[in-house]
Order: sequence, then structure tokens, then C-alpha cells
Amino acid sequence: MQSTQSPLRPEDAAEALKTAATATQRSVAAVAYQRVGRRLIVWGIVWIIVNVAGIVRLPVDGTYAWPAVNFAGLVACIILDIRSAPGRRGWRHAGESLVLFLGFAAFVFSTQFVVVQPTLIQVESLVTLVLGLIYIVIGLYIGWRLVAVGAALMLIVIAGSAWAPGQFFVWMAAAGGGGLILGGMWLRKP
Amino acid sequence: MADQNDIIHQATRLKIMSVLNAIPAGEGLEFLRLKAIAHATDGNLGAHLATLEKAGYITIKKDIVGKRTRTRAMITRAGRRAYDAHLLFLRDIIAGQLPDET
Repeated sequence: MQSTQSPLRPEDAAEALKTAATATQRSVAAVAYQRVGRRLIVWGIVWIIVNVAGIVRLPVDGTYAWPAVNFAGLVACIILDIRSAPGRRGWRHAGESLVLFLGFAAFVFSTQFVVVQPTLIQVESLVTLVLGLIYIVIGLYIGWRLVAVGAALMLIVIAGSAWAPGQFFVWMAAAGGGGLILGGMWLRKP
Repeated sequence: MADQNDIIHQATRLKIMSVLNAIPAGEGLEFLRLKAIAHATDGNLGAHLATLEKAGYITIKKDIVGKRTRTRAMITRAGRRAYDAHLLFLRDIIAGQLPDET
């Protein structure tokens, strides 16, 4: 459309480009928040279940709950990802979830070669710290809410290890799982 | 050099187009989220969306989710082209290629 107004000054053009860039950045962050928030809520539920299994020590000291419930969490994420976007994009999101899951599974498996017979608490703490760090790094490029969620995750696991080692599973079910769900809801908030 | 697009250049509409242009093709953004990102009021946003829709730059889709109506805005191909052309125009201005006033 041809303009009917007087020609723009370079300062006005620069201001308009700045407005466009800010809005674009906010939009990219909002899309990422939606996607990450959805996953956080799923993994928050997973954490509550596996940590409650750790508390009641079922099945077999709670250790068997981890692979089963984590796999259920992966399936839930994949279904939500496929439904979240039309066509190939939904499947691509599902692929991202699968790669993330396999990456963390490989990380957990690898800890056995670095730490001699790690306990469930040590593995859970390590995974949470790494997850928190990943969110902080991604958040530096996407948006501050992810940085806040990552920092909160790291603080939760540090606080649990330092002040509630005897009640670690209770702490991680309540603060960790609950925190993930609340963090996910916060990210999805407009 | 590209022309100034008065429909897109208005501040709120520029924000709306920037937000929607960053959304992957085929996906829309909910009215509430768009309102929050563009810092607009309900009435203000509705009026600007109507202007953009009339120009063929966006489409508005309404569907029922649970018991509420969900309104989503989606940028069209023509909208992406017009937006890119307007940004090119702005960059040209900054680069010193002033528009021909004839």
C-alpha cells in the first residue's frame, strides 16, 4: 500500500524497527514458553509420582517406578506435542521431546561410569541440576522466565540436599514436582 | 525501493504483525496472548485486527474449547510479504535511500 503521509525520518524508521524487533522477541519467547510450559507440567506430574514411589519404596524400593513413569511421561509429551501444531510441525515437536528424553536417559546411564554406584538421590539431584542449567542457558536467549524456572529448580534440589536429605523424596515430590507444575503454568500464562 | 505501508506502520499494528510473523506458518496466536504481547486493550486490539484482516494480512479463526470461544489470529502469506516489504522499506530509510517524493 502506498503511503499518504510525509516521508519517514531515519530516526522514526529506526524506532519502528526497534518496536518490530522487541515484539518479535516477545513472540518467540511466548511460543517457547507455551511449549516448555506444557512439558514442565507433564514432568511435574511424573516427578510427584516417582518421588512418592520413592517414599513408599514401591515397587522394589521405588527404583522400578522411574523407567515406567518416565516412559509414560514421554508418551504424554509426544501426544501433546503432536496435537499442539498441525502437520509435520507437531511431529517435529514430538521428535524434540524424544531426543531430549533419550539425552537425559543417556546422561543418567553415563553417571554410573563417573560415580560408583550412584544412589537414586544422587542421580535425581544431578539430573535436576543439569535440567536447571539447561533452562538457564536457553532462557538467556529466549526469555527471563526460563532463567527463573531453571534457577528455581537448582535451588530446590540444593535446598533438598542440604536441609532435608532424610526427607529428600518428600521434598522433591512437593517442591520439585509441584514447582515444575507451577513453573509450567506460569510460563503458559499470557 | 519498497513503499511505506501505512496499514502495517501504525505502532500497534506493527507490533501485531511482528508477533504473528514470528509464529510458525499454519499456527495462530490466541487473542489473550496477543493482547498481552502487544500491550493492547480488548477494543483497541479488536479494531486493529479488523483492519489487518480487511487488508488480507491476517485471518481470524474462532473455535470452541471446552465452554469458551477461542479466538486466534494467523498471518497470511500476503501479510508476511507485506510485512517483509515494510521492514525492507524501513531499513532502506535508515540506509539513506530516501523515498522518491514525486
